[in-house]
Amino acid sequence: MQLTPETSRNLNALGLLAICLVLAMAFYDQLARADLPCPLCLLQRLGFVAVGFGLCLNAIHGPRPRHYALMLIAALFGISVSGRQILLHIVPGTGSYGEPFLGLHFYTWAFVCFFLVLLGTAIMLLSEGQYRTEGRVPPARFGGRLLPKAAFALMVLLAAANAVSALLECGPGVCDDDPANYKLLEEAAPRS
Amino acid sequence: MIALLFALFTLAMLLALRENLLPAHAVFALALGLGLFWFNHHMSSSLSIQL
Repeated sequence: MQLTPETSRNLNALGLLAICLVLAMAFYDQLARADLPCPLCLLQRLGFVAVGFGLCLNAIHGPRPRHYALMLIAALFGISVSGRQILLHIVPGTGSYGEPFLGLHFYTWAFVCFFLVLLGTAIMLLSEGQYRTEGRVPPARFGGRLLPKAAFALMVLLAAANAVSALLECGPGVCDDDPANYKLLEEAAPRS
Repeated sequence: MIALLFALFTLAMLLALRENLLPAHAVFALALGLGLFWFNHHMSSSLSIQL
């Protein structure tokens, strides 16, 4: 399998959009179903954002092995956190966190997604052709294409939105293990 | 505190956009290191299984 740099950049942009979809689904669950993320859930989101950083580098500057390496490290972090949360609830009768989605809890979905990131990144690393730049004009940022630009803008927006959301939920300190409300908003609200 | 980590990753992406790649990688490493610290901090509940 030989990918051209342009094809690889587009595939990375599509991967970035997939990560954005995962983060958007988490936000939808948080806002529409009032399901506040636990600290481990937030760390899994952080893992997705970290994977997104590697994809952003590929989208902006073109594919490089070190960008894929960052994605693998970030996915290992994320799969460790989600695996830990699965183990917390793996024994029957030990409860769960949040409502299931299509039969699985979000931390189980996160484990599946991080596994797919690891698999997808390993498959992408099989192609040497994506790094070849001989005889080519050095491409502009994002390869001058709209898809990587749009995916990058969405990723930055979602990462910043997660920063604001986590600040409202946890405040500047440590997050509650089982958050019931937005700590910062509650502290700011006038007491009756 | 976790908000800071998201902010750091956002900063790393913006640094990468401005072609400041070394600072971007450094901020990524810092944020991931802090993420590991918080992961360890929140692994306080004992598991119901023996590994």
